Amino acid sequence: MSGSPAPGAAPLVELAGVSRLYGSLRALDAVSLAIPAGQWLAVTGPSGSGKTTLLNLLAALDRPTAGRVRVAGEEIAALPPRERARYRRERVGLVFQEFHLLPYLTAVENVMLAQYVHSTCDRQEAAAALERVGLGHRLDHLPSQLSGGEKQRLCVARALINHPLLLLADEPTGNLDAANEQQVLTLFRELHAAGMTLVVVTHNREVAELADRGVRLEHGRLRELSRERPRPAPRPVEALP
Amino acid sequence: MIVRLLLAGARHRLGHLAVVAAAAASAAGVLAATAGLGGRLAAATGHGLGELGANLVVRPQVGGLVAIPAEELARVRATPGVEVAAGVMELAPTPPAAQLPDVVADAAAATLVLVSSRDLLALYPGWEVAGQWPDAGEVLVGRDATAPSGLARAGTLTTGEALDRALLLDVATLERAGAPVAFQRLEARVAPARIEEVAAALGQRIPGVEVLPLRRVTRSQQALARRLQLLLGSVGAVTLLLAIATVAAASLAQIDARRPELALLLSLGYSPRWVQGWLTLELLLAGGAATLLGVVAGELAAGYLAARLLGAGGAAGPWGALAAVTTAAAVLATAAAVTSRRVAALEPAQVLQEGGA
Repeated sequence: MSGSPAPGAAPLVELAGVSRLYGSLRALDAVSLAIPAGQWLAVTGPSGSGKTTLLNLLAALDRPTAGRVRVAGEEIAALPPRERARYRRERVGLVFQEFHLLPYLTAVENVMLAQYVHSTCDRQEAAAALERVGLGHRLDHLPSQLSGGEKQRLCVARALINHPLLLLADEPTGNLDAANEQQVLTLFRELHAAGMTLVVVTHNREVAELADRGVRLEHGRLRELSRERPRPAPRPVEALP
Repeated sequence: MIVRLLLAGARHRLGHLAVVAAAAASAAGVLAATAGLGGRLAAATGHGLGELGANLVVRPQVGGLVAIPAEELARVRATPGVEVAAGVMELAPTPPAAQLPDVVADAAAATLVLVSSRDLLALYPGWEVAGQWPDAGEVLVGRDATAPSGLARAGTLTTGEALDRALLLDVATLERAGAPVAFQRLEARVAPARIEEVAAALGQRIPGVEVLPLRRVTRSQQALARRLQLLLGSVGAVTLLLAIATVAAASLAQIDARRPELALLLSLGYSPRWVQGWLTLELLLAGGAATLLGVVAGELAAGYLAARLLGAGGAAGPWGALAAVTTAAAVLATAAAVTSRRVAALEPAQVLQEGGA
């Protein structure tokens, strides 16, 4: 099953016949999927259907049992551990439902943690990234001093600091109240409008409906949902929040 | 950033680092103390053997030589394993010995002892000499003896033994009188481990003599030292094993508690090797500082125990510090290996899904 890349353009992400088995459990079953650059893809499905497994394969945090995973022309399933680490720091940004922030580092230091592994620490750039997600006043606060929505926006800033090709979000609004959820979704809309490719795993119908395209996983099998919207023309990157 | 990570992380994990530091410091301290005490014990044993005096005597065999020619003393001294040797000749002072007719001693001095050289004092370091070793024409007078006429007094000898009533002369006095020099016995101190070998060699080299090694004294001293060193070694080995087990367990507990944090670093693109290096650096900083403290504490303890148990503190040798550093290296290397294996086995996707951090 494949998406609809722009005519003549190679998809940014391609999965071909990807299966992932955990013992006798088939988490993904011969999944094929193409995601064009700039598309916002929503992955839905019941718990245990393989959504997070799909995201982990795209993040090179896991390897498929069978099939190929290609991102930006790079076959990531075959990469050795060191190259997989390089892929993660250069190509993808990850947003987690549980935030996963280091509790003993401040907001700006949590962003710099991602910067450090990529190139070098630049506090001003990290602070600017936090400004863009509306956390300019929270630079030196510890995660324990931030609300859920602020933590998630901090996660987004950390995910974007190295200018990834692909933003992968696993239930990004799962732990947020309605107000904070709207703040994060606004952020995603603006990123999408700026041309960012997003893959968002969600149970939330509202979040799924914001995406250009939706796919549903059931028992490891992928089903394309009928709705697919043309993505809006990208805004200049400088206009990112 | 790495410094900030280390400092902030260390503050966050004081408990674990304290366990590692305590285990490394304890191991280093106990090993430094046992090795330092062992070294002092070996030195004290050697000193004790020395204070016992000669542990090998060469004397004429019945039916063999009447006296041992002076040149045989040189052969004894040249024998490998012999640390110091002296030749001794005892004469009755009253009536005046035929060899020294000018020397008239008081009847209270039972013996006139002629000695090859001042090496006798090296053989018996426990003796006290007020004055100096006699030159030709001089005499070293036993504490309870009276100086003879005809010889100048070089000093007074206190031994606590029969020699306190004797007069000691260097054989140079005999040579000056033109008398032949030959000894009634040769006394030597030999390295305890080589005493049998030296005795056999001397028995072959010098015909007509019997060689008497004082085995019982040497062996009992050596056995005591060996037993004590075995005891210290056992304490050290048990301490080392306990420290390795403690630090390994603390490291495993730490990795388990930090799985979400480590998984996050891996998901951000940090390589497993970088994470392993970071954790090892943490261990080294905590363990290294603790080892220094352990070495100092162990050396102080070794000095104190040596003073209490052996009666003398003795000098601190390099073995205590070397043992402590080796121990700490072994403990920290084990911890680093355990940590590295755990990190290599970490599945970041699974850990992040479990939540935390």
